[in-house]
Amino acid sequence: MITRRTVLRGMMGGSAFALGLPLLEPMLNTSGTALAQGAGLAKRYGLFFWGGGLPWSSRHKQAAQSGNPDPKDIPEPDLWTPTTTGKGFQLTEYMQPLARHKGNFSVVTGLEPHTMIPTTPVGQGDGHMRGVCVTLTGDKIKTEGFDHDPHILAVNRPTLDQFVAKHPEFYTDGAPFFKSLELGVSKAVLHDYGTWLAVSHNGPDSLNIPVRDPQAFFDHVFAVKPDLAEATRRTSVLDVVLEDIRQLQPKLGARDKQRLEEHLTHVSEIERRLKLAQAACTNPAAPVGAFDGEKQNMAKLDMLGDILVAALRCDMTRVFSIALTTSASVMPMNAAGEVDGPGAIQMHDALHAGNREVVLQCTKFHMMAFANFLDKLTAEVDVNGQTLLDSSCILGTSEYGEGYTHSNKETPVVIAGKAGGALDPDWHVRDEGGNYSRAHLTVLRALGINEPSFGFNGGETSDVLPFLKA
Amino acid sequence: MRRYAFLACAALLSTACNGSVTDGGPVAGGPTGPGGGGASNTGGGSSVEVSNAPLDPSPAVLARLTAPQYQNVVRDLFGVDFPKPALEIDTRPYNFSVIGASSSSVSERGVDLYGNSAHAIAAKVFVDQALRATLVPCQVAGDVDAACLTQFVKDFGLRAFRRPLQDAEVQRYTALGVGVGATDPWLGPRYIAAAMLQSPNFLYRVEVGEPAAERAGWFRYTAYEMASRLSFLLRNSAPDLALLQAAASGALSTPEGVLAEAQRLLADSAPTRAMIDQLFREYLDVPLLDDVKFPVEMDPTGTIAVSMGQEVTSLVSRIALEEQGDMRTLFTTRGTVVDASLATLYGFPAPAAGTFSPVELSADGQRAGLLTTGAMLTIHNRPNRTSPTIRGMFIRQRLLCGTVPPPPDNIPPLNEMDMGAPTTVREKIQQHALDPACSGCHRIMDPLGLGMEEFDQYGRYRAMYDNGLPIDNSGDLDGIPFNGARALGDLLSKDERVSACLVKQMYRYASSRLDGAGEEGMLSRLNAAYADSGHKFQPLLLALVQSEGFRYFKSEAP
Repeated sequence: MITRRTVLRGMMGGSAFALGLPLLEPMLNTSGTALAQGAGLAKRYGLFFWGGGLPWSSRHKQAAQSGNPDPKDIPEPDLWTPTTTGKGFQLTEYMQPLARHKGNFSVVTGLEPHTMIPTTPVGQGDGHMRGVCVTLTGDKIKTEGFDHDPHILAVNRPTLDQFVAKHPEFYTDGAPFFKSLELGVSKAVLHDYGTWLAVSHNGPDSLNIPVRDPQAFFDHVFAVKPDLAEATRRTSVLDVVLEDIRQLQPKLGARDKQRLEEHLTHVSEIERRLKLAQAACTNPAAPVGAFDGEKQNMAKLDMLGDILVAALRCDMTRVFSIALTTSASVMPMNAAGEVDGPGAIQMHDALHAGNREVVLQCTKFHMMAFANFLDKLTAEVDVNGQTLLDSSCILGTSEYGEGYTHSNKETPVVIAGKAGGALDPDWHVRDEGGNYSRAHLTVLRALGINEPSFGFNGGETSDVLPFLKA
Repeated sequence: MRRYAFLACAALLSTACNGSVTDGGPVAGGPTGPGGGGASNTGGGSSVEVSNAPLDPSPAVLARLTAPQYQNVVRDLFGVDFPKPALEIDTRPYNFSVIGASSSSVSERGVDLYGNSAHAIAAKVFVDQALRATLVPCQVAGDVDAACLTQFVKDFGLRAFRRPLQDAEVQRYTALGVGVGATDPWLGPRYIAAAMLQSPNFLYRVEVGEPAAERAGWFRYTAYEMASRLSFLLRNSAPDLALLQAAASGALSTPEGVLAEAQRLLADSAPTRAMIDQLFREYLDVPLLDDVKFPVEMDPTGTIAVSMGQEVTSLVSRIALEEQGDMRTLFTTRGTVVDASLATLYGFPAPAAGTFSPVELSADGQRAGLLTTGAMLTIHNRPNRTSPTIRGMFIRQRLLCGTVPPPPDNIPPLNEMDMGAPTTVREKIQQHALDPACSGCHRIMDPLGLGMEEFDQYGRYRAMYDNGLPIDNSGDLDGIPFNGARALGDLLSKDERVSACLVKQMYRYASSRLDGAGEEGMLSRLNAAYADSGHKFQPLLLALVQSEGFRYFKSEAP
């Protein structure tokens, strides 16, 4: 048997070069369930994010509680929350697009942020803003520098995908080509700055802006590697750049020193990648066609998804995030379910205007897109007969629960995949008012990251969800 | 995308709306609280209050080049108009991409893209024999010539890093060139250039400064740093050789020297025009026009968004540059330029296709000034109707530099769906005014936008709504009633807050950061100088670059 770390090594220009290999049969143990050295099969983590929450409604409760319900306040049914809990729940109307994946995912309802809300600066309780920070990082908004008026905010710490990608208990068999890949679909962002632009952050004001163009994504992942001579020259160039950064840092203040430290880390990563030869793997076809505007979002997701799955298959990364739409998305949708179709209204507007028809179509679109993406993971079969989804943990979520009211209650959580056997799928868990970070902690443990707790600044929990196998 | 104002109405009482309408600072004119105070300053000229508060400078920042700056810089470095490089997008907090560039960290992919761009540019330049000869004037012979490489490193490095290189840097880059040039001597300068284009000394505008003997505790930007500050402000690009020489000679160490170089740069009209376009496009959110879907009958060629943007920048540059006139007339001028699609919108005969021609709006017409341009009327709306709230918010935040406090949490929706009788926009949002939980904040915004209802969400004039109901375009600017967007523009032209706001925004743009608390006094003095000049743009710029805030900084608090 050959070990997972088996590589072809060579020396060139004084640097060692390594050739990563995809998973081959001789690497497995005799029962094909684990790597020969006793390590489990590689687990993957993916975030699938959509903006604007769900049309789950709290209004019917408000109308019931107030003494004089507004006659225009028509009670609206909750079409998301399954009526039964436990294993083998019944799909609800909004989950219908996921029907073909039944048995492969669990749903958690009732979760909400538990993080503290500082009183100054004002506005840190805003649903989109507090919600997106908790969903993505388990922490409150970064208080210093927060400015509600122009909607300027930063996360307080790295998002979960980066936490996973950089955790010592994750890439235990050596660093891959890319620690993570960030892709996105809709370009209809609310603001052209800050957390409205990206769902993956390395820290405050450190965005991993998703690649939204299939051609650019293909180039990023499967760029033709330079030959050895060129790679050597580029490595020498980067060595000089690294030295320039180191010489400059001591002259700067703390914040700018930190920004340059991040720049330095990135240069080092790129240099490391230069030294990895091309993975011996079948590349996908380069994408063709333009994907302008919002009308072709589903087709764009399809193309991006193919490239991503090829990267996963070739083990070029094990962490990714997909920003289908970002928080408070202004993706245009009409009542017939046509993205940017005639009479389309921006999703964010539709939420606030109480335009349930359009919001329903947005929800359908989100769920269909999620199902289409999961199709690609189930179509990809490992050497041992398991699908890519079986070895993955995919967190499908949004920045809050009910769009109408900016309510952070009932934030949707869909956890798909079996994480290599760590997750028992097909549960509905209901935890009304529960701490959202139970989802984070469950994801981490399923990936083999044994943090005792997760969540910060009031959001701490050590409570996992019941479908995590011990 | 269109800016979106969160609609703020709640059954719960809001405690949020006690904030003042203006955002601090000793600004004259206008009321100082929501709904309170008297009329704004109706006179022209300098009846501006000036603060004596001395300057307490803010720390320096480290701004990365924005994508347009990067493109301009490489064009000027090599004398080649390269195709637009694929770089990570800029972020634009507080209106300006330079503020995003000084506050955000670049991502790994962003660094990767810089690398791809650097190698692509260097490859293209150094295979061009004529071009490379201009960059490397000494003989690059069969054997790699270290002396020649050293000269290239110093000469090119001065321009790439916007300062002379230190000895250790010269050695580092020369050694790189010697190493890679072993097989082909021209690879040496090519990879030196590629490395420099990835260096933080190129990608960031480094401002380390030197202690200022004349001001204890302060730092002075060095001469080379001043050259960059001037050039990036006035040209959105790196210093040219003349400016670098002025730095070397010590000319930039005095305000007079700074003034002289600024005047030289501003005399060059093409880059100055480009700078004004860039600045005001960001200040006025012109890029948001790209996301608007105009009705086909109004925009058959799909180009009116571009035309609208060009009209706005032409308007600004005409007053700021060509006429060197009073910037307040931006809100009242009846002169504008139209192409075929704008001519139809404003009711003029169309000029030849693809051209703009100047027109004069009628003296008793609905339109005059910036607020009545198609661009400004269109950008801040909903797709399906006008939004007095968003229009009002733009004017309040962007033109008056006012603040709008956040809405309460858990707001119920504004029920927009017509239940029975048709409603006007005013009626739809009247809950903002009637509900005390809403009105505290909404009266900061809505009465401004409500006075502009005679223009629809695409900037077209209308006498009534589509449902036949009449338009009521009565509005209110902090206690002063008005009817119509043109009248509001007239009020804004006399409102000192607008000028003070422009000064503040210019200062932020010039500094690549927000203004600090210790700069308020200086800003009010700049505002006074601006008023004294007759509210002219170039004198404002010149006063700004000579100001102490532009030439000094303090180190960060420990």
